Amino acid sequence: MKYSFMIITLVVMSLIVVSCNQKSSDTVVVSESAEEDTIVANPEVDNFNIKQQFKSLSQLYRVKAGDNDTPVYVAFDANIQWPLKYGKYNVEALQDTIIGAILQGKTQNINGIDEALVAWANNFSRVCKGVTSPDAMELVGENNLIKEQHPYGSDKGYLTKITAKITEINDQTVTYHVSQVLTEPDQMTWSSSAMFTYDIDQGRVLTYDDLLLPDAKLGVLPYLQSALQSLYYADDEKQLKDMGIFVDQLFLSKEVFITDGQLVFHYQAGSIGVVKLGEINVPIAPFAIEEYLTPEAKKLLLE
Amino acid sequence: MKARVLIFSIIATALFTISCSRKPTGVTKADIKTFDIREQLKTASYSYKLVDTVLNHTAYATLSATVQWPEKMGDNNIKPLQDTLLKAVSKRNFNNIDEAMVNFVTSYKDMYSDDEQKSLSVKATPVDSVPLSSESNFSYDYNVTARISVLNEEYVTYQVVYYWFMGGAHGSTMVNPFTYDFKRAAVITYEDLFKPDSDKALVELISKSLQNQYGANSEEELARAGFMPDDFYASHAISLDENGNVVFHYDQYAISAYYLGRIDVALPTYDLESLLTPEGKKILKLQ
Repeated sequence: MKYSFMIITLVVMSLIVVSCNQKSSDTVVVSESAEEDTIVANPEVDNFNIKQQFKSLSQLYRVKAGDNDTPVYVAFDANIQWPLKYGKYNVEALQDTIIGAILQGKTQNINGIDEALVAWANNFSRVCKGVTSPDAMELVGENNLIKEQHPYGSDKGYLTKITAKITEINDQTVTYHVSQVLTEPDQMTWSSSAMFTYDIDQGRVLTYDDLLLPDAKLGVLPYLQSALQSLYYADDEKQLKDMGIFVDQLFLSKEVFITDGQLVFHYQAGSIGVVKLGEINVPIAPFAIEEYLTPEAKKLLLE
Repeated sequence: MKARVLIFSIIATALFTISCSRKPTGVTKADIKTFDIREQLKTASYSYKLVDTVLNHTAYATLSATVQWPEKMGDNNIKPLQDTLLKAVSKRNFNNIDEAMVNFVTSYKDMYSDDEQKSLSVKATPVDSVPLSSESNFSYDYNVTARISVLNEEYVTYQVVYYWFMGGAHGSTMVNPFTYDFKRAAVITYEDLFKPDSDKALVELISKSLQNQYGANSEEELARAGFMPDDFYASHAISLDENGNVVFHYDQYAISAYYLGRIDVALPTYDLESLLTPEGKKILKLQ
């Protein structure tokens, strides 16, 4: 009879485990469909397969904030272009980088993009002051309720939005833009963003040190100011200052990416110009700064 | 002993039921929507040595086409989207994107205007690459690129960019942006969105938006910045950006000096509400 107990216990426990263990939507099997196999490629056209998923989360919650009886509303809006496979290459390092950008480095115990998005949404301490427990949340519906009435959040609501999108892709590199915006009830807006280029063949994100030599810091700075003048149609330093650029505080950003064959320096809003200018991307033609480029950068940008 | 087994089973079943039916609070994985996207990045390129036997003139030309070709976007019908891209790549009718691209990169005569073509006495020979320092120093480019700029579960926006350089101070660029609405399985047109008599009001909104964008307080100040306010019009080259704003596109020279480049004016939907058709309000989710 002891055995019957044990057997029942084991069966029931495994039932619980199996039934409650929701199948992770993060586990994706990339199958090569029959349809793909039968495509007859034109030999004059090069094909590079891109497999990805679009992930979205769009909800409005009513939240009790501490002892305050007046609920506040929190609208979440996430739109993620999630890479699965580029050509014959796996993209795990790119996936990890996107998750790192979404969670701003706090990726401990996070497995996959779905877990990352859940963690992002449930991280109230960043979103809504005084609300730290997800137990206080009550789902109201999809956030178009709040969007329709108040496109940028209501006087009682927070709108937090994250987007990860490809800005450029070719068979060598892919450039991603991950941006986060939080609009508070008083319409105050906070934003941060990351832009990076991933080398598909090498399977890694290209960093500042991969692209620029150590002495680039001072050497490239004059080109940066000149590129800023072109970007803002400014004739001289004074005009650039008048437009809100902190000319005296210019520095070479460590955040670099590649777009349209140019090396682009990425600056967060407020770092080299007034906040209303938003994030600033300064493109510099690679041939102009050739002497400061690493051999890897020269190969990618100049050959 | 049978009773103990029964009691134990009841308790275990209850445990099972409770643990599975407890609704988790906060956002869960089940709240995330996912749709699969499959594309092909297609590229084709041809280079030619062009010899004008009458003028005794040699030049090199490179024609290239790059298309982010959609094969699957969730369960949506994307055939009309593919047809739109086919037409954007080639003037002639093709059923297959590869054929359309090959036709583009082999039609070097399309680089010239009709008048120029009549007087052409050019022999073209395909070459593997254009010499870095060619004997003639003339190197022309003609290319088309169709890329996705916005993609979400409701729509995809493409930018089809044509660039050509036939000598002179600079090349020229023309952009054809469009947004494909998955639900309607159709490209969103100006006529879908706006009432017939909306042009004047739209021009005013566009002018105001440009003034904000360029820190100008009047159209006179915009003119000093390089715009041509007398030429302002409501562009029918429209698309939706990632925030759902309607973007009015203007090519170089259309409403401003060349150095200002391409001009895009994004207007938020709530500014446009009174100008929209009933269909437009549905498309932009204002109804």
